[in-house]
Amino acid sequence: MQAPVRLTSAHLKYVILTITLLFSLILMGLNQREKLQLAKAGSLAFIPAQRLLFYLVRMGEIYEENRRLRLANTRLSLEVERMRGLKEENQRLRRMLEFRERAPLQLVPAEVVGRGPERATHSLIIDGGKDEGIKMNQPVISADGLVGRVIKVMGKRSTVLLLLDPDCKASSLVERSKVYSIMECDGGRCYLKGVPLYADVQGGDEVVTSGWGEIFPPGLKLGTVKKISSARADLLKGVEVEPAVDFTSLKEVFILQGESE
Amino acid sequence: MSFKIVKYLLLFLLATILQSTVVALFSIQGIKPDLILLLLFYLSLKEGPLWGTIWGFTFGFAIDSTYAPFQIGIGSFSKVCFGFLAGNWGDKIYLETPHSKGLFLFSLVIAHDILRYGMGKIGNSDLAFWYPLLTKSLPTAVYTAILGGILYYLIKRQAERGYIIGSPRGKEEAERGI
Repeated sequence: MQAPVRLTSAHLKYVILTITLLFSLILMGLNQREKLQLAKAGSLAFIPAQRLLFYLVRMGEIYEENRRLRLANTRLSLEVERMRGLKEENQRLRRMLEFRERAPLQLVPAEVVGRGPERATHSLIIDGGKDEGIKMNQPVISADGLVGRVIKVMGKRSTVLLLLDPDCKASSLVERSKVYSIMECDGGRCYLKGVPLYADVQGGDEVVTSGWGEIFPPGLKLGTVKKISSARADLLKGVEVEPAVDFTSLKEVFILQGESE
Repeated sequence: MSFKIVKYLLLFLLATILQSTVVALFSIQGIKPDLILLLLFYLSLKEGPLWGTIWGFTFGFAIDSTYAPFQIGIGSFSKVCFGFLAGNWGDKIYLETPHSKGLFLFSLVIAHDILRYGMGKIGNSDLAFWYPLLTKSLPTAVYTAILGGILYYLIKRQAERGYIIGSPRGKEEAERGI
């Protein structure tokens, strides 16, 4: 009677190993919606604790940044005054020409409070969520260009999937020659997919979003063409793109919330 | 045991924060040592394969659900294997010197990443396998192994001198009232 119990306890490590591996495989087999729901529950306890520690670790850096931002703020205030005068002049001229002013896109600023710690994860945690009106799939940008899209929204924080992730594709346009394609990254490098062999694409060409997809509006900078490869037998060009954004040094981003009224 | 659980949870949180902040200062060409795997390696050696497996699953699940929800399960799978192998083999083969410890850690980091990228590739064929493995995993494994070896040497030396509470010499000297 005791034999099976002894066997289980002697092999407990193998039993636990099998259970955890099976459980991991089951998790992998879930669909994206189920994975997102589970992820919300899983990160519920982890994110607040991580956020607190993150601020403690970054305290010194935040102090220095604060000093630098105060200085920049003073400079920018002077610049804003100058721009205000220019805007008034611009508005007056527009009215005179009976142009309808295009409504600017509404930007919600957010601070990066967490970063995927592993080589295989391409995401950020930002300090903004439902309370700030952030919604799923809203584009996230920085001053340099497109950063990614929101994939998980909680009360006061959200997860942003970076452009580097294979699940974050963007319809793109080579600005100079108006060649349309899809920009896709494989976790390390980014490529333009489906560019015909005859298409006019050269190294150094700027690539922006085309606005053809449902998520990203047109004109957001994606990057610059870095390398082109084409074998004679191929029908398509291999176009590698250097992303415009340095994803390793992002500290603040903006969420695009459509056009304001 | 509950104290240990809290201790390792706090260490995990700290490692995650340091990995995405301070460690970047020590990066060479963007390559950083992997503190989370280093911690998992340490606790698996210390606590054995059972706890290595359980903590591997916990670390992997926490990281995936926070940073890579679409890859949920992959991180826990690879870390379960990492924790189990580290705990199971750590005391079975000759690993007393810092460089053999470092070599063992190097092999485990590579195995972890092969599983991580391999399972990712099975789930999503667009995901690269060889490129990140050669350009990221290999140098990260070298960096992590060197750091792990150095830390092991320092901890061992401190323990031999009796500076670490609980080490054999520390206990001996405490008993003698030194």
